[in-house]
Amino acid sequence: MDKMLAMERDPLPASVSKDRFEALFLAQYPRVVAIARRVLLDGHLAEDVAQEVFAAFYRSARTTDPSHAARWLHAAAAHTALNILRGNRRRARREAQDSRVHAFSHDALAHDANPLQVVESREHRAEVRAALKRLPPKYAAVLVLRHAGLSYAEIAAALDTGINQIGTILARAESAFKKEISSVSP
Amino acid sequence: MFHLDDGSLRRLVDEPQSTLSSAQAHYATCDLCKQRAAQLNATADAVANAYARAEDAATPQKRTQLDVGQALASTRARIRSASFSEVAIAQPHRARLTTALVALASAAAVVLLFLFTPLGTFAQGFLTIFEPRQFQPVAITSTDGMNMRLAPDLTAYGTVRVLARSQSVFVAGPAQAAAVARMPLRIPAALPANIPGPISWRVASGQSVMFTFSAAKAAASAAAHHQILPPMPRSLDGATLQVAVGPVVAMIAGERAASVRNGRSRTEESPDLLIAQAPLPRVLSTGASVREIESYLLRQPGIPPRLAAQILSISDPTSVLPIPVPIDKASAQQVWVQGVRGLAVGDNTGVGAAVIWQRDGYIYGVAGSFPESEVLAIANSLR
Repeated sequence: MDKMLAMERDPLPASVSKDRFEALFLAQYPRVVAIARRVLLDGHLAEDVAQEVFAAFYRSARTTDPSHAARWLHAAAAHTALNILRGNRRRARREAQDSRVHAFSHDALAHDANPLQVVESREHRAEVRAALKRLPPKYAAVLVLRHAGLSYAEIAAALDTGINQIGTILARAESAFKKEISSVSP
Repeated sequence: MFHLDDGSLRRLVDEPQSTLSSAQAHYATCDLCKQRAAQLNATADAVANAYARAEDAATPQKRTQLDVGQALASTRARIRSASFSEVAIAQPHRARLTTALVALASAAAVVLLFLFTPLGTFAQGFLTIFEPRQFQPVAITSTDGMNMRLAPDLTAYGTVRVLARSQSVFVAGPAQAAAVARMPLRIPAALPANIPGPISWRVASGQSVMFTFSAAKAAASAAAHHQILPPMPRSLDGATLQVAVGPVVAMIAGERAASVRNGRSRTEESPDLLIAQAPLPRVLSTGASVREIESYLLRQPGIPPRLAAQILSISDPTSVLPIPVPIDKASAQQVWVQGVRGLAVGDNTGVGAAVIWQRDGYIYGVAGSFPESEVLAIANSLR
């Protein structure tokens, strides 16, 4: 019995059809990236998180039913990205790496011709992240999901919260977020 | 008519078509609500602008189109290599299970809660003072739950003495668990293949508590808190109850943060599957009957009248354990399990379920983040 309980699980569950997973991936990947990006403000890191989320979903999937899967993915993307934001070390490492790449990129040079503008932009991103970090977790999750384009019903499903509460949480979250951001115009 | 709350106004801005027609009608004629909606809208715009600026700052990635095909290939490679990187994936279903386990007041949770917390709250003190043979759901709402938290502590009605305090330890496996708990164990013959590891076994030793009702203490406590409590019947004053629970053995699967530190168990997250078993809890009384205690305690402040009526309607209170089921989050039904009648509770999202039953002097509970049918199959596989 102990042997049975300790047995290794197949890393690729047969219950998850590859075709269905692919369909789910194609349908949801942009949105999952958008959610992570709303938190991290870093496209590469957002894609990294999104792929990890899909891989975790594949391994733990109990259903590929589109509505259940979507809400799982949305919530996982928001919470995982917020956890990274709070943990900070991974993002800081990535940001340090990016800043080196950014500094020598022709694209970046063309875009950010004004060094002052570059500095201000980075400061603004840091302010947005810091504001998000200081919000209560549920507020932050509702805020990023809404600003990633999810409907109230989708947010309610992802966070397992009554749909009537979403507007209230969102209004409070936006108010708190605005107060936190010194650079946001009133 | 009342004005619209901020949440309704915020949604009216974003999704006017999804808003109730009565709210729309009020909004159309209410200048104050329009003014508040404009303020909320301005705040939402400010947040959107802040994001837009941050997005601009995040270039050049912004201009890069997502290559979904390449991303799919990368994800498949991650899955094949099983090299999950430093990102700790937040598992939404686990978060819901945490809520579900607590909210359902499931079989295992009821037993474990009683054991791992002092005989503190009114509900626990009252609801577990029998030798349960059957289980009956009683519907509660979230408001009921909040009200009950405001109910006086049991110590307001008498003296609590802990005769034996429970201690919880992790053990190596079922054989050691049975030896430590000194009770026969039932072990699942089959588990769903997708339960993530690790599987651990935990034993909590028995707890025994003695409680003596005191009319004088109840009166003093009421006066100190400026409350008016119903008078304690003379037959209860001085009556003593002894409540014995446990030991409890729990098999826990998928509990990522379970650990043993300095010989003491520590749990930070709810598991995917919990199987708990224990001897039936028992109550000894020096004379007060269950019905007398019940009718007195259920008249105390904080006990919702609807809940009290449900409990009072139970025909044999000496052997029926009421299981509170939050009606907005879960549903309950009688089921046959292991050849006896049990109670299954499933949460409304379909991601969590629990089943509780008693057989041959032991109480069993299985709770997990699975559909009710799967939880029932696990329960029926216990041998």
